[in-house]
Amino acid sequence: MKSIEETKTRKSGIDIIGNVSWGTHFCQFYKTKQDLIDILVPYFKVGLENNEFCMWVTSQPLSVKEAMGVLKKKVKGFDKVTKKGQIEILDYSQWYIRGGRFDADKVLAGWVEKEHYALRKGFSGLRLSGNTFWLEKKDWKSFRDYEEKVNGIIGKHEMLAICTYSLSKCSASEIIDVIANHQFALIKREKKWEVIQSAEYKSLKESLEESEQRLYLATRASKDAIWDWDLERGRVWWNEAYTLSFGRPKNTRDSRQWWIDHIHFDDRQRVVDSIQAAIKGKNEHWRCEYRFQKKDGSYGNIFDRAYIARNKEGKAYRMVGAMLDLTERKKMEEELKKAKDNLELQVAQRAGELQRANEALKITKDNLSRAQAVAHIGSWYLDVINDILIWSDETYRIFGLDIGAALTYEMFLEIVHPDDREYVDKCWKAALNKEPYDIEHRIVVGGKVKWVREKAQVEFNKEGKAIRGIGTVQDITERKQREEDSRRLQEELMHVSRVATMGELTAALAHELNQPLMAIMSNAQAAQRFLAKEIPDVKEVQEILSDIIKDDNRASGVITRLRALLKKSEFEFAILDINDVIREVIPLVQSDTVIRNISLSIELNDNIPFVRGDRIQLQQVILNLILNSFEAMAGVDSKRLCISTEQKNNQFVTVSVMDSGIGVDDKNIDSLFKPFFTTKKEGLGMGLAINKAIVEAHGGSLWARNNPDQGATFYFTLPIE
Amino acid sequence: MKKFIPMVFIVDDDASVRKSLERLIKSVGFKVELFASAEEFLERKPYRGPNCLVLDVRMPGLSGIDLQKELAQKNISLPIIFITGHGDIPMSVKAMKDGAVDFLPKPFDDKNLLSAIDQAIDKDVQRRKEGALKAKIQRRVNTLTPREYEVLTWVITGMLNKQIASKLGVGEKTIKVHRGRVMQKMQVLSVAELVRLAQIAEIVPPKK
Repeated sequence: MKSIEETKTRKSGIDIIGNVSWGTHFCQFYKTKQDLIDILVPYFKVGLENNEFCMWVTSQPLSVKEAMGVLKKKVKGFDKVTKKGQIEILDYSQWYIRGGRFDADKVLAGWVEKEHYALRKGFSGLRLSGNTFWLEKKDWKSFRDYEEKVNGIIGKHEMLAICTYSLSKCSASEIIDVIANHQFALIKREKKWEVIQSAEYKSLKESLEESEQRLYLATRASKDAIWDWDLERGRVWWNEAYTLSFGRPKNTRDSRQWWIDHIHFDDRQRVVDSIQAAIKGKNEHWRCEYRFQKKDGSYGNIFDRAYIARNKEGKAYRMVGAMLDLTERKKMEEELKKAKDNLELQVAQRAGELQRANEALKITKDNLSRAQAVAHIGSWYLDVINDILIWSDETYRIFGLDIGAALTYEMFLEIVHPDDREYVDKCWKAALNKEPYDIEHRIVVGGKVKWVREKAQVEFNKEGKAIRGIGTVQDITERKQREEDSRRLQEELMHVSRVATMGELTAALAHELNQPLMAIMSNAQAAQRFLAKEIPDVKEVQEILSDIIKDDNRASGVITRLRALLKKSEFEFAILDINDVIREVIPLVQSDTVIRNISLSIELNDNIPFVRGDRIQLQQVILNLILNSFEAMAGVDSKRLCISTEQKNNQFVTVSVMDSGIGVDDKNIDSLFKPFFTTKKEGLGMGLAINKAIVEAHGGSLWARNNPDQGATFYFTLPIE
Repeated sequence: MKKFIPMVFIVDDDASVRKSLERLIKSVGFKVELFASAEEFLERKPYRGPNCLVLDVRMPGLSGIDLQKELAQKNISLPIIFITGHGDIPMSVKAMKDGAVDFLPKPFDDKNLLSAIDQAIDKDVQRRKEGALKAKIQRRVNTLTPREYEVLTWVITGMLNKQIASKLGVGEKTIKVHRGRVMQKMQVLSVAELVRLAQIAEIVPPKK
C-alpha cells in the first residue's frame, strides 16, 4: 500500500535487495570475513546516512575493532556519528550471552528497548545486525525459537535486522531452518550474491501482499477512511481516503492529539471518554458518532467504528477502525424526506382542491339560488347584441321587482337613486369600453334607500365590441349602516377623548387666560386713574385702550382654539403645513411647560412639503403626545421636550415628540397603541389607540421608540400632499 | 437722610402684564422698574431708597419662590408681594411665612395691589429708619473702651456702683468715673434712656 511504503520504506544499502520496509528480518550466510564486510558495511552506511540508529553485534571472524575500522573508512564523518551515539558496535558476548547464557526473551526485550531509545533520540528507527558464530549446538533450538519470536515482533517495529550465519557452522537442516525463519537469505554463489526466499515465506508474503492489495482496493472503492492506532506506541496510520477527506498531522508523533483536536468541541469530551472507556474495557468493538473537522474546514457527521485488539491479558494494544462520513447521506435523506413531504402535501392539496371544486360545483348547481339569498348576492346576464337581460331571483328581490318581470336597462336605471343615476350610467358605459366595473351605489326600493355593490365582466368580440356581460349585485345596506355607525362611534370617541385631554389642560389654560385678563384689568384701572386727573392724559389712555384690545384678542384666541378642539366635528381634510398645526398647539401647553419646569424646544423644518389632513384631529394627536410626555417626565429631574418635523422621503413627513421621561418598558412598546392599554392609574387607555386611528385614517403611521440615553420618542408620519 | 422716591420692582414673564402694572403703579406716583425674569432682577444693584418687589410666582427659569429664597440667602431684605395666575394655598402660606407682604391671585383689583404696595413701602421705610437709628447708636457704642462697655452692660441690668465695683474687683470711685464717661459718650442723661438705646443696639446684659 502506497501510504505504508511512503513512511516505512528504507534503503537496504544492498544492491540486489534494493528497498525494504521497516520490519524486514533477513539473513546472510557467509564463509569469510570479507563476505561480512561486503554486506554489512554498505548496510550500516546507508542506515547512518538516513538517520537510523545502528547496532552491530559482531563475532568471529570480524572483531569489534575491525568492524569499526572498515566502517570508518566507508562512512564520511564517522567520528561525528559515533559521538552523536548513532552507532553501537558490540561483541556478541556483550549482547547475546550476558550473564553467561543465552536468554531469548531478554535479548528480544533488549532490541525493543534499543528501538525505543532510538525513537526517543529522534532517530527514525533501529537497524541491527547479529552474528550467530557463537551458537553452540545445544543452544540451536532455543535460538531458533528466538528467531521465530523476532519474526513475530519485528513487523510491528521500526526495525531492520540482518542475522549472519557462518556456513561452516550450519548443517543442511539448520540452513533450512534459518531460511524458513527469515523473509529471505543472502547467499554467495560463484562470487555473486543471490537472494533466496523460502517457499513458505514467499507464498505467505504473496498472500499478504494480495490481501493488502485487496484491502487497499476495497477501501478505495468504499472511500472509507481507515485508521490503525498502535496504542503501545501512540502511533496512528491512516489510509489514503482518510488523508484525502481529513488531512493528517505534520508530525506522526502528534497524531493522537491531532485527531482529538479535530473533533467538534461540543463532542470532544464525550468521544475521548468513550474511546478511553472502550480501551480500558473488555469489548472488542467501539463505535461512536461525532462531528469531525474535515480538510476543507467544515464539520462532517462521522460514524466511527473500530476493532480493539487485545493481548492474552485482555490489554488493548491496537485499534483499527473506519470513519464513515454520514454528512452527505444525512443531507440526502433530509432532502429526500422534504421532497417526499412536499409531494404528499401537493397530492393532498390537489385532492382537497379537487374535492372542493366538486363540492362547489354541486352547490352551484343545486343551491345557487339559495346561496344568493343567504349572501344577498344576485346575478344577472346581459346579451348585448340581442338586448336580453336576465336576472336571478335574488336580483329581483334586491331590486324589489316581481320575479320574472320583463326587464330593460332603463328600468334598472329607474331604480337607482337619483343622485347616483348619472354615475352608474357613466360607469356602465365605461365598462362597455373595457373599463373594469365594480361600483357601490344607492337604489330606492319601496321608498327606502338601499346600498348595493355591483361587479361585472364584459366579453368582447374580435372587433372589440361588447357582446355579453355577466354580473353580480350585492345588497350591502347593512354593511354600509355598520360602517356609518362605526364611523360615528369613532368620532364620538375621539371627541370624548379630546374633551378628556382638554380636562388635563385646565390648570394651564386658566393661567393662559388669566394673563391677558390681568393685563386688561390693570390697564382699565390705570386708565380710570389717568382720566380722573385734572388734566387727563388722553394719549396715555389711547395707548392703554389699544393694549386692552390686544389682550382681549389674545384671550379670545385661546378660547377659539379651545372651542375648535372641543367642537364635535367630522373629518375635514385640507392641505396643511404641519408646522403651523404644531405652532397652534404650543400656546396651549406653553404655560404647562413653565409650571412643570420643562425645557421645551421646537425644531420645525421650514422646508417640508404640505400634507393633507384634518387640522383639529392632528392637533389632538400632537396635544395628546405632548401631554403623555409631560406625565412620563413627572418624576424625572432633567425635563426636556423636543418637537420636531422633517421630511422622511419623497412620500412622508415625520413629526417626532421626544422626551426625557421614564421611557416605555420594552415589552410594552408594541401594545402601547392597543385600546385600553394603560400604565397610568387613572388613564382610560384610549389616547394612543385613538391617536393611531387618526394617524392611520390620514394614511400615516404612529410608533414609539426608547431613546438611547433617556426617555422615549413618539413618531408619526403623514403622506405628502 | 436724603429723600428717595419709593421704587416698585415688577418681575413677570408676561410683557402685557408687566406693562399694565407699570401704568397702574406709576399713576400713584411710585417709580417702577420692569424685569422679565428673576435672573434679570438679580443683576440689578440694590436701590438705596424704600422699595418693594411685585413678583410673579410662575416663570420659566427661576420661579418667584426661588427668587425669594435666593434674596434671603444673599441677605437682601425687601418686602415682596406675590402675584399669581394660578396660586395654591400651600404655596401662598409658605411664601407668607417666609416674609411675603401679600399674595394676590390674578386678576386682582387695583386697590388690593396698591394698598399692598403702600404697606410694603411703609414696612421698608420703617425698617430703614430702625436701621439708621441702630447705626447711629452703634457708632456711639464703638467709642467706648472695653472696660466702659463692660460697665455699660452691668449698668443696664440696674446694678449700683458698689455692686459693679465688687463684681469687677475695683474701687467704687473707678466705677463712678467709667459710668460718667459711658453716659457722656452715649449722650444720655438717665439710666432709663441708656437702657432704651442698649435695647435698640441689641446689647445683651450679662447674666447676674
